[in-house]
Amino acid sequence: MKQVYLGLHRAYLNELLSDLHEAGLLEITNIWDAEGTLCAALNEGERRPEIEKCAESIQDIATLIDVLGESREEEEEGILHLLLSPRPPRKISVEKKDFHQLCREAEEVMSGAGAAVDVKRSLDALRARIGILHEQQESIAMLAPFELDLGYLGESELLYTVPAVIDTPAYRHFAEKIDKERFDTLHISRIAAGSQTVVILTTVREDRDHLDHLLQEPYIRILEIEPFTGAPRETIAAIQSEIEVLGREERELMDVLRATDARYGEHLRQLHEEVCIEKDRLMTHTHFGWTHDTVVIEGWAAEKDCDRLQEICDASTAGHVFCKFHDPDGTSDNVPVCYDNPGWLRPFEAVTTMFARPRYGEVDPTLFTAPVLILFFALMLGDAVYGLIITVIAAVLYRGAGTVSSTIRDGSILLMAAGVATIVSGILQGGYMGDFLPRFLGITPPFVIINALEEPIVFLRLALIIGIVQINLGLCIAAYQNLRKKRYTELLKGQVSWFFLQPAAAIMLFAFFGWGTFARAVMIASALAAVVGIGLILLRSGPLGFFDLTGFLGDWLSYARLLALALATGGIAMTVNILAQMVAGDNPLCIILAAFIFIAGQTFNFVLQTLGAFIHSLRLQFVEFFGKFYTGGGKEFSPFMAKREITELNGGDV
Amino acid sequence: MAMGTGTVLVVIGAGLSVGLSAIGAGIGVGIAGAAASGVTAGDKEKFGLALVFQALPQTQGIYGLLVAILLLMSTGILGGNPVDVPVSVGLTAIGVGIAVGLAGLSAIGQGIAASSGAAVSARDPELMGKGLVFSVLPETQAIYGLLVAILLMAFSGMFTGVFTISEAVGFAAIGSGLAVGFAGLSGIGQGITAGAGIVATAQQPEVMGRALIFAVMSETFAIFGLLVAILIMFGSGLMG
Repeated sequence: MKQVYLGLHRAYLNELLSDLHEAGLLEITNIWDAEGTLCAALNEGERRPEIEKCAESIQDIATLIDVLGESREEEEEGILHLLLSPRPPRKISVEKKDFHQLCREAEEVMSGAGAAVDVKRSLDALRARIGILHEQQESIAMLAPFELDLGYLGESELLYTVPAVIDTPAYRHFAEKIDKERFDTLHISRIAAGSQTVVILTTVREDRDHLDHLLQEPYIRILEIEPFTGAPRETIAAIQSEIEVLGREERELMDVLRATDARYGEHLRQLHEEVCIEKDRLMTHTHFGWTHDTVVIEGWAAEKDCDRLQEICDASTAGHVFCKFHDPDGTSDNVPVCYDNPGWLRPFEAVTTMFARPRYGEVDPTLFTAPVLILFFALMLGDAVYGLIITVIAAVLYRGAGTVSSTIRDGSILLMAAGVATIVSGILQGGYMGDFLPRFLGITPPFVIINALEEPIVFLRLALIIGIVQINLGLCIAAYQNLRKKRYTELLKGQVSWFFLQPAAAIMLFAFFGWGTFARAVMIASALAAVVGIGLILLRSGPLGFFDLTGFLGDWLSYARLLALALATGGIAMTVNILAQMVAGDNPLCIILAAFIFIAGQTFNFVLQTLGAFIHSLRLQFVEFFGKFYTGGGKEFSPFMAKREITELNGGDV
Repeated sequence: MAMGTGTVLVVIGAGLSVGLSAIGAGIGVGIAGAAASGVTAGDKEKFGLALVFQALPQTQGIYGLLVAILLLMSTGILGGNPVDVPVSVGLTAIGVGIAVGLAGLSAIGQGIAASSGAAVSARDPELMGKGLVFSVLPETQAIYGLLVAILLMAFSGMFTGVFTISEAVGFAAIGSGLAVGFAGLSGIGQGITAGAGIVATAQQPEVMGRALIFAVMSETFAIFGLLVAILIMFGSGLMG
């Protein structure tokens, strides 16, 4: 990573910013955050007034896009369709435009499509009216059995009539309450309809407030009827006619919106993206240092991109620019980090990022993690058929959703590597849905080298050998980092101590358990090495160094999970096979049941063990391996880059 | 078929293996399931994510089932010809069942960690990987239990059918199982720490490494148990 300073005449700024934005090679930092010596000679930039204009345009265009979006009838694609055969987004070809060109274009489009907002307003009012009319229909339908002229409802010169719906179980309570109130005049008509009772209450006009107050109960709903006249059935028919007329108007307005969308929709979405990009560019101006005529830009760029960055700057400013590239201060936490791995390794960067991005100057563990992660996964799953299923799923995803999503493409590559490795591991372990081949087909699996179920001790030895190799790889990387940074004390106490202790402990354990005999000189040297090793560890951590010793042992023995998971995969698959075999008989029903047990059991085992193998592989990387040398926590390199999702500069499909 | 005392003891060992580990797995899955229900109630789209976390503490139950099946197969009760198992091997089988069964109680801790993982991942799906890593920490104790069980089965001749150990060694095998099994209960403490570690990492992603160190501290006691189990096996002559 290089720290970059660009100095140029302000006349070239817009052109250069535009080119830098499209190239996405430079992370622009705010020069005023650090307030370095350079700042003393510079002035702060003012917020550009064009930003407000952009923000207004973005809001107006977004409103129009929303309005027109409602008129579009897009079929929602199912998750399977999205995964297997997604439609790649169509890119709209655009040309480079300055702020004023964009404004003119936005005004033109808004003048053509802007009327859609009024159309939408009318449409909303229409729909609200239709909704009210439907409610009125429902309310009036409840009053139909009364055969009452609706003109009598409400307040007249002498009377007040109000319709309401009361929960039938609560009606008795309501009637008693009304009786107690002793109205001079109160007439109640009621019809019970299931759980609800419809009532029409009529009293003298003077008692209106009194009656309304009594109707304020949670089990009573007053029917709000507009001032209609005539019998309920005739009124319902009249309302229906009005709804149909309004429905026709609604369809006509929708046609207007659809036509506007067809004509301007795509252009609006394109403009929205372009104006957002322009706004992002304008927002950076306050990050720069200014003099009367010049601008100074500060940022970060990957070392491999510096030449290309220089070329862009020269081309955009016709050579009127100075570019300075500095090595950053190695101790700074502010230096951004970007991965620099070959293409085949990039899908595995997500695994490292899941733990933490490397700090600047720290070894990127992706190269060491990738092959081991796949190896562990394959050893733990260890079934050729399961591996084949994973490979097929990964291939389908790669050719489907992987064509439109880089995340899914990377994930499918990772999965494919894991699947292929599992096929190989499965063949070498003789796992084909457990012991399906020998149990049901009488075939002895060929090419078997090691079977966890038959030779668990051999598999355990293999797991522990792999473990000690990976742990020592971690120690070696840590030693390399300490050596490079000249932290010799830490190197001695943190890593060399273990290099002394491990072989010494191995020799003494072999001698103790009687697994080997060693010359006296070797034993004395081992004892001395062990003392030195333990002494260095205690010097580093004090009494807590004891936990370093148990921790190291725990890390090593933790690799026994390779055996545990391999046993679990093969063992459970075998159990499913045994159960299916026990259930199967001559009866066709038993055979169907056995087939069901087999398919369900194997599916369950496949899903659970695949998940387990992946998680435990990750754990071995993150806890046992990374724990030896890696802390992470680096800042992500975030280049100044135009976010183009539907547009492409001088390219695209349209 | 008349069962000998040795076979009866193996069957008891199989029962201990699957039964005890099922208690742990059941409680663990229940704890994680409660959190999973809450997560799904908040957002039904998170059902799949929550289910993954709920499934994690099931593994201990699977280890218990696996060892029970292996024990039953070694006697020929399941999938083979009945074998005359000596009492010494039957006693070893009880040690095997205790090792896997008690260590399987670590699933309770895994359930606690998984419930935190489910809650945190539901809020930020990018934390799912980290949540899973913390959630599998307390499974190590179950793996140690399984490891000792496999070693006991291998050295007592259950895989080969050649039984040469004495009854005294069989009793020693029970000691081995008790050592690693009870030490496996440290998984519950580890689960509590791991659950807090997930939350800490969600608040401040860069503390993940340190939170992992806190969480693996509880594993020390499981290692003590494993060491003692191996020393018993060695001292009693099981390991040759």
